[in-house]
Amino acid sequence: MIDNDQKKRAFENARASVSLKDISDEELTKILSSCASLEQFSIIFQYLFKAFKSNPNGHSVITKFFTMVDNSSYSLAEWIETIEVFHKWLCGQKRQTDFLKMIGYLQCSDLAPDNREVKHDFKDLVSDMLKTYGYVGK
Amino acid sequence: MKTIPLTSSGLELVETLNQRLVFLDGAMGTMIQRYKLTEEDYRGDRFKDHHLDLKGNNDLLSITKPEVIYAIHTQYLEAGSDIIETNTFSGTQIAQADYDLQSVAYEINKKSAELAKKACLDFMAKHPDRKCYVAGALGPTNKTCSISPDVNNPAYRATSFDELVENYYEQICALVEGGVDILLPETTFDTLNLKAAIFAIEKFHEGRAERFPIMLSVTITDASGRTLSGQTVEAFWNSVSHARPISVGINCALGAKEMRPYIEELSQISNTFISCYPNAGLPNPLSDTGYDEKPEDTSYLLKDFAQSGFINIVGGCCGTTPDHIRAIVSTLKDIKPRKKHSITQALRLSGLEPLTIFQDQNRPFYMVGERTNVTGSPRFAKLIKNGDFEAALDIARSQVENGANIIDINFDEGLLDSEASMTKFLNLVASEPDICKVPIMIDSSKWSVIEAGLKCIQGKGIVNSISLKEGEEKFKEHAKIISRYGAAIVVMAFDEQGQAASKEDKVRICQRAYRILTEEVGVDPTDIIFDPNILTVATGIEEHNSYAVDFIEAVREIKKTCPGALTSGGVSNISFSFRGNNIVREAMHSAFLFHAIKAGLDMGIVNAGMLEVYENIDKELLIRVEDVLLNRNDNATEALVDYAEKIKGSEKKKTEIDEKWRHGTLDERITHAIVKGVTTYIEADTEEARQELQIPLKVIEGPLMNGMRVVGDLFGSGKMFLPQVVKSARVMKQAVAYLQPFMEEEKRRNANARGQSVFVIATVKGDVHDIGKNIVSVVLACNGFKVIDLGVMVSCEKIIDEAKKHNADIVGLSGLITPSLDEMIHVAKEFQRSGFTTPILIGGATTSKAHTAIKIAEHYDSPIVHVGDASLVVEVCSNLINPEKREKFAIELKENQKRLKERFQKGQSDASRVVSFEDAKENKLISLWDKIDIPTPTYTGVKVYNDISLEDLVPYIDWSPFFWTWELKGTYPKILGHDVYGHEAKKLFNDANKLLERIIAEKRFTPKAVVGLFKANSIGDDVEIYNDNGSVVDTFHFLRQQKEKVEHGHHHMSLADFIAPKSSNRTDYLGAFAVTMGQDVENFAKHFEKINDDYNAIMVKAIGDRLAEALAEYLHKRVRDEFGFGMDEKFSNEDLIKELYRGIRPAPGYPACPDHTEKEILWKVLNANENIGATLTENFAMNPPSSVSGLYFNHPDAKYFTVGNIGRDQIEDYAKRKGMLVKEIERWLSPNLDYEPEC
Repeated sequence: MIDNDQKKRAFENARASVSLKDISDEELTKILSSCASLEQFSIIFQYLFKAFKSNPNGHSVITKFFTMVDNSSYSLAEWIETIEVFHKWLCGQKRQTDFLKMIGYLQCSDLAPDNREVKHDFKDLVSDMLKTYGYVGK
Repeated sequence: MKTIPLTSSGLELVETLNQRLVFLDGAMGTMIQRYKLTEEDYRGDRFKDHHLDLKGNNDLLSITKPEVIYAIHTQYLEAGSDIIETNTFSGTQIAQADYDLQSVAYEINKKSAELAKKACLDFMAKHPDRKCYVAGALGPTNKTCSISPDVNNPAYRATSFDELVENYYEQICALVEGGVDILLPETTFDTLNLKAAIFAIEKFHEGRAERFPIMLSVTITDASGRTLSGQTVEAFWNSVSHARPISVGINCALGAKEMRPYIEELSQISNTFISCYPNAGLPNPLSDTGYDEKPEDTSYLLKDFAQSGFINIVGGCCGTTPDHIRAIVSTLKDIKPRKKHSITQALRLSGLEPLTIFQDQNRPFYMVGERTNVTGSPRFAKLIKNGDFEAALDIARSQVENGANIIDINFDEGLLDSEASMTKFLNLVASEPDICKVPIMIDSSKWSVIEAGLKCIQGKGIVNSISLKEGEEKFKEHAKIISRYGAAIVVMAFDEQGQAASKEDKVRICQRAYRILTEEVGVDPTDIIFDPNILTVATGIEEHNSYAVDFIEAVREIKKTCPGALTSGGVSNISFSFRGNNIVREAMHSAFLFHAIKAGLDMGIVNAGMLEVYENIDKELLIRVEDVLLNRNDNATEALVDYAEKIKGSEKKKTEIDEKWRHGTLDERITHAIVKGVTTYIEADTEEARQELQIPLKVIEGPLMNGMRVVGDLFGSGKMFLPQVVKSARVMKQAVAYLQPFMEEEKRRNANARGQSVFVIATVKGDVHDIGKNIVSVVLACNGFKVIDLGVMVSCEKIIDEAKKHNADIVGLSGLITPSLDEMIHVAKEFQRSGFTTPILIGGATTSKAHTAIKIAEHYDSPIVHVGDASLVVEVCSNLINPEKREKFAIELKENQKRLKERFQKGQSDASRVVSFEDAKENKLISLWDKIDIPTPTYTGVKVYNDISLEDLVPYIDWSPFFWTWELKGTYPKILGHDVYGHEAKKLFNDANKLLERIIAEKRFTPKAVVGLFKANSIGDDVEIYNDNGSVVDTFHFLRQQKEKVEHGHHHMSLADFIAPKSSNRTDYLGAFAVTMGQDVENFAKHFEKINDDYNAIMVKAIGDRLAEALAEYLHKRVRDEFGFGMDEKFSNEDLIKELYRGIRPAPGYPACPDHTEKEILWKVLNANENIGATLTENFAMNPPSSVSGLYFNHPDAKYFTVGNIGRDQIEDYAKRKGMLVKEIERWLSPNLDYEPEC
């Protein structure tokens, strides 16, 4: 659990580094509230920051992300937890990727036949996918 | 461009840059955040009633909170900044449109510049030893000029070059009026946007006596080292160097550490000063500063840059503060600046990647692909006239693949809108990295078309062409404008008197043009490419005989007298006299180029795929060709014409078949046959082996298995792919089939003779899918297993009986649909109850390691293993068969499965929340039913479509799943060019198309389809369908999403929401369909199975599946036409695969309607059994397998979605609506339950 003071500071630091045009206060709060740890928040925030910098219409990144979450079988918290797992896998491979490609992989994993008949824990599902099929994205 | 002198402050700045490092400021946004300004602060008094929120519009603060901006500027100046940037990152009308403040853009820029200037002047008054400058920041806007924001429409652009120029021009005027010293377009993510800014800057400077110094800065967004629009650093610099900036650099996105390699590269390739202002690392919400890097960290990293000689101007971007700047100044101030250096003279072009054409003698020859030209290529012209730009792109692509360094694009044709075609084609090219990686040559005789093209390319391209035909003034005007776009120029040898034909005229005109361009217009000589006109020889007209020689000698002279300029020509012109005779033409081109390149020709416009190698030209032909080209004798033309007639129509034939392998040893021959899939001699070789080894099993275990081991090793190491393995299996199977009678005889004589390991495999009861099962059977048979394939829809009892009968060593269960998973559980339980200890393998699309571990394995004590794909099955089986390995394997397996189960159970408690069913219904998608368009079909009721031919279906085939069947991971058509799979994929695709042709020619399959179009209304989450008199035919039942939503506006969807409710009093329609390719598919596959040709047997079924899906797609189009809205569609196959059309056709069992039992209703209303001969198994699998069914929804907003987890409240409601027991529903919807059902 993140204590309130840490949460407040993390929010303020994050708020200071990205424009309101890219992510509103409400959207930033939703993301922070769905993080199980500050480390998780730091990881996803850095991906979002890079995605905002890479997209002229930065807010489209958040729209796409939330739409994918809402169309999936998993909650925002589960998505963020899985992003953390994916990130750590990439670090282990000494690779990087961009946020939209990463969440695209997560979306595909959710829709994969493996997940149709048995609903897996999202991070375990993606972890297995990475182990079995790897990741071709840059 | 002709250079005018810099302003005095510009000259002063350059002088300073020569002496020391110069320091920029840090981030403005980061500093503004510290003030914690409110919405009211942003609005001020002036905008207090503005209709949009303004918080975050930092540029506006220059008007509403100028004291804040002034204070920030002052802090940076005090920290040591020599240059401060205006607060105008979003100062264009385009950017201010987000706040509907376009009308304030000019004022924002002027005020921001005045503020910054005042801060500088006030500071310098207090610190007379300091000289400070104001840089007017021109941000990139929030729109890209060379990327479409709509993935479905790559030709679309959210802004245009002209719009950007207009915006930037206004911004520049305002900034200069406000007093800036420097113009700084920065944070460029799209080079075309920056080219528009440069164009605007040049427009601003027209007629002025002095130039403002320009600093350019690009953003590299990720580890690829490219801009967002895809250019490398060098390609970017080539594109913008025509701006003659005082500096070029990189800012934002990356921290200094990540930026290092790109700054290093830029400092090496650029001949101007280098700037660098990185972020303070990545934002880090956990750190005190909010960013990774403290001031000492950033300054430490930048010190390395300075000491390495990379930089001249340094500052900070996002996350940096006055403390960062202070630290940077303190650390770096005494380090010597980078020395500017000159670079080798060369023509430096770019697409996404750079192309440098040096002047030295050893340079290669550069080819300009000529086939994307409507006048030169009838095929290209036809495609463009038909609007088939996608296929036209393939022509461009093949030119690049065949080696073209540049591609020439021309749309000069009377019936075409050339400007529009050029714009659309170039916009499409920009979305194809494998084409636009090379520079573009924009080819037109119309100036407006040339300009249209130049506004579309972010790279440095070439204009083909201008000339002195219309006089000097026009020539200079065009050259000036082209230079403003940054392009190189092809100059034709034409003047006011006409086209130059003789050597003397060619040289004279080119020398004149050279002088005008370099001395009067200020064009860099390396940007000039002379085309002294290649004219046709061997026309029969004597004057034309020296045309080739004249060209060659003119090139020699031009290279000597016009230093720096390059030469080019349209090579195919030389051989027009021999149109239709490609052999002669290719020889002429090759020989002509051989001599012209020696004379100095740098590039030529050619068909990059059709150039014969000079050394390979037939010697007799070469002599005749060179006689003509070099005008060596008077009869040269006649001699070549005679020779051309003789060889016309002859084709090169490759008749040699490689049979060298037949000379190898017996083992070598058998291995070769198996690895290469050659069946021709396998029976003879197998017999030879049997004679030698006497015992048939030794032949299998010896030379045959040796061959298969090679296949297995290659397959396992990824050097061989499944289609090849299956072809190898075909050879193995034929050999084994040959030995079969001998093996049976052997068994009769010797009951103790050791046999092969036995693998019994079946698709479980109620399921009909078997392609994967068949592939596994083949792979195992290749590896020495005796495979007993029980087929499909095999009951548990039969599996047990056959396993006992054959004394199976391993049993394999395959299934595709949900109910098959339950059947597998049942089989496992029965095996346990029957006392079996035989290992079981589980496979099929919906099976998984997790499901096997969690749901099946607990019911069986012996090993029960999930195998994901065919490449893994051999190793698993070997482990299970080998007595030394089996026990360890089984223990590890059980442990892994136990871990998986524990992990799963723990995960269940953290499952995402579901809202109540009532709340979900409250949040349904509500349409404005009184206004919504509900099209009416031309008929209602059930209709059987008997008129569909196989040929009709071919254009609708989606080939990607075909490759996935063969375990080649990629999408069509990209997979054909895949680095790893491409070669194999191409072979497989060829084989598939050959077989498809045969299927069509022999009418092997008969497509059958039935459609029902019914009046319909929704009632809650059900949809009733009616016949024409209004009575209810039947009711479909749908489920609704219940997972908690992140976004307020997102609805809890149900398919029923796409049909008008009864209460709306509107008649809506629901469609239903079922299609099949019929039992013929299975029958045709059996034909191949009988002759042991598994490869084609599997191929037939895979093609059958593709045709069934194509039939569904084709039929959907016809149904959309019946509703009327389909008639206006103009979709390509790719568009159909992407489902760009209106409407959806979900199938029961898939995520939007996960309940398979709804298929029963579908079958009933369509009378599918009778109408198309397709049935449902007891588990609702469609039989024959090559069948598809579903429902049609035409709502304009209809889209696919996942129902996901649902709660008990909805299950109970659903069971009631369907008239089924809750337990039954829980069984069919077990993956969707948000709770654990009671046992």
